Amino acid sequence: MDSLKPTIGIRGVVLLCIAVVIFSELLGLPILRRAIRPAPPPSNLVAAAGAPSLVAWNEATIVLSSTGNPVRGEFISRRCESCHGVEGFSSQASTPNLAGIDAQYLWKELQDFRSAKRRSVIMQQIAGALTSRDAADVAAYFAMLPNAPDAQFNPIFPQTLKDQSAIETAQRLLAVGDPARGIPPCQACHGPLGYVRPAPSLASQNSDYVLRQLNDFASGARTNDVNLPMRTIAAELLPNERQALAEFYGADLARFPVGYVTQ
Amino acid sequence: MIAEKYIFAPACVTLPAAVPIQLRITSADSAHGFKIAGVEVKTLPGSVTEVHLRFPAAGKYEFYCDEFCGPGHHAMMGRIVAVPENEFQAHNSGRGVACGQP
Repeated sequence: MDSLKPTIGIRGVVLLCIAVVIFSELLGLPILRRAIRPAPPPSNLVAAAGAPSLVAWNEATIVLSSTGNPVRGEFISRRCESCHGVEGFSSQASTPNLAGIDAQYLWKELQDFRSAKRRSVIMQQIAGALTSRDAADVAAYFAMLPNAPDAQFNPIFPQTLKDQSAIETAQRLLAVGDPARGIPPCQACHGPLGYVRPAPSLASQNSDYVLRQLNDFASGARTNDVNLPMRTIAAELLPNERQALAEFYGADLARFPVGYVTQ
Repeated sequence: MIAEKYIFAPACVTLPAAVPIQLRITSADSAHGFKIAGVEVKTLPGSVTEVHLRFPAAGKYEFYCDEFCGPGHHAMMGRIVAVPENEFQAHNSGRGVACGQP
């Protein structure tokens, strides 16, 4: 029976395990469990338009983006006021209102600006100065703001509707969409009938900004919609429909669910 | 192909006719259906549904979601444009491509 005795022994097994771990560390194999660390942004902020977004919705990013500290976020948001307004309603129709927008959406946009997945000369610089934690905090703050503007601070929302015929076009698209073209009703994802995260609520959004984003999605200039919903839909929308939708939202007409009866 | 609320991505695909096609679909968020030309499957998040198709003639084949998924479900549609095989080969490397405006 001597030949069957183990020749390595307990100490040998322990040493063997340590050696395996050290060897795999040297090779870079993830044998030991690591804490989840978010990927650092690339040092070169100019990335190709087709580059993947750094935001992948998994447990870590969902927890991070939904547990921001809004008190700290208010402090960080002071530097946003000059463009986005004191109450989250901006002073220019081309700059988006941030009040009441979903925190996960705001966090994702800031992350995409940091990695240049979404292009904006101003926002890339600003978002580059924020950490992921800062972005979560400021997103939580803006998400808490009421999405009805305060007249003493904000002069420009709602905008005046220039074209009355836009109302009927926009109502049809909001309530019914266009099944023949595969366009779902806008209010099923962007509210107020339903919300599909992280599609942003558009009820209190400026018209020029909405138009610009629809055009950018249609032309492929904006590419950070996960699984391509907005690029698909915006490419099917005709230019006059995009204009009608933008004016409809900017005129504060989407505050309640829109109904439409096909004649 | 990805099915999510409330679109299919890509929504319009050009494929060769009279050729066996394998379509792989997954869902991004909830249970969706995929129904085309008498073939009907379901898709679920976290799994991939494989469908074997063959379009006998060139033309437009519409597909739609037939698993209720929310207020936009009725508009969740797309189309497959089947073209003769020689036309398809001339344009791309052999994978389905998205077509433009109708």
